[in-house]
Amino acid sequence: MSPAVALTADGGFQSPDEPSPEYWMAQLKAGKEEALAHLMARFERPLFAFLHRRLQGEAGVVQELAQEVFLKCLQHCQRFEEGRPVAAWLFTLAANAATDHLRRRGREVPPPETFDAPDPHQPSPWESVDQSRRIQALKGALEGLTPRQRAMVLAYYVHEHPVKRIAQDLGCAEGTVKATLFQSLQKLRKTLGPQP
Amino acid sequence: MTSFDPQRLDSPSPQPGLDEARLFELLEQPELWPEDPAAQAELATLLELHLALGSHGPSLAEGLAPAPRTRWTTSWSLAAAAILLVALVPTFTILQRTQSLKAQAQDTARLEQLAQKRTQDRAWIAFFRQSTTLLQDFEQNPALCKKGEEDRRQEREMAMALLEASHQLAAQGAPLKEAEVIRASLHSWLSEVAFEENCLTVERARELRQWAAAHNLETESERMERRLRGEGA
Repeated sequence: MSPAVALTADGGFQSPDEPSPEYWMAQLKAGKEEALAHLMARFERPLFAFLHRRLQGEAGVVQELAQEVFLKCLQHCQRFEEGRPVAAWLFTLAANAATDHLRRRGREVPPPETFDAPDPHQPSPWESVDQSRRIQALKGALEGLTPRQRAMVLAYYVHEHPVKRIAQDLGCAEGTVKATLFQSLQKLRKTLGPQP
Repeated sequence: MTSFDPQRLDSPSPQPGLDEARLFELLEQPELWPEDPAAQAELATLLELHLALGSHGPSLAEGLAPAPRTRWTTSWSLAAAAILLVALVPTFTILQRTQSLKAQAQDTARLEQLAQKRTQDRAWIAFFRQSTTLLQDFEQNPALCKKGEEDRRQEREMAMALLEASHQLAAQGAPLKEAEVIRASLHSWLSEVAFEENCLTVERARELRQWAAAHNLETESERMERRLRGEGA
């Protein structure tokens, strides 16, 4: 199954006519602050999910740090280098914000091994409708994986098993599990649509 | 830093798995991504998909065919038990966590509401208690002014303070409808006292006492104070 539109940052869909994040960043750099709202709409959910995983169990500060990321985006947009993907820049800002926060708190937390925390950003009823479409598209794309890839993807993302356990269960090296997961992500992305 | 060539990923790698494994580890560490914009774009897209899969994980489980068995090491009964555990334990934990968070939020909101209500009740109780005291004081024979008038300086000051409190209570809202009715009656009487001179003629003082008695202000104020304290209807 292949959706008619591309998968976006939050596993949602992006219309082919919709301007890219790079376009909105250029607008922001040109002084059009309303462009920030478009970037926020595009990246709010993935940044929430990213920060939530980085700050295991510190759900209270996720929103605060996400706001900090967008504030930095506004304040330092002139430092953004043309030609670089906006998503990569925002995720780096988020990673740095999380690291600074953890350093202030005096603890270091590595990226979590599994998806053990619920999405802190509760969808509105309208978002739920879109979410249902995303889930259908993802399910369809999963059907296109090889049985082994699918087994690993389900074990990791659906059953939330750590890589180590998947490797033990399937009798292979942890590196093989990680590589297969990475290859599966590439395959899923191709099935779901072109790069945004 | 890991060297990264997105084109290479579409073709067989001499050492299959090794580079991709490292790239998978790098997904959630954008601060360590290579400088190459194409590589960053590739990783950013895959990270977004990675996060989306994680967010939608439980929903994806619904209706999906079970993953193919890769290893036959356990009996059917053990496998069934494992499936039940995998399905039930996380669901139960999530449900329990959600319910616990909901209950906690409800409790906090309820406590805040109760605290707010207690503060409001205390202000109204104090108002009725001090009004009752003032009405009782007004019944007493006071010291006299020079011309034989009643010296009601203290009562007047008290009435002014209570009038100000009455304004604030009216703005905050009453805990009971009846309390608001009695406050309004007291407010009128307090206004009369507050706007008088310190020294009242005997006639004017009597008039004010009669007004209070006609409206049963002392009894009503006392009753409302007791009621708000929960000491009777």
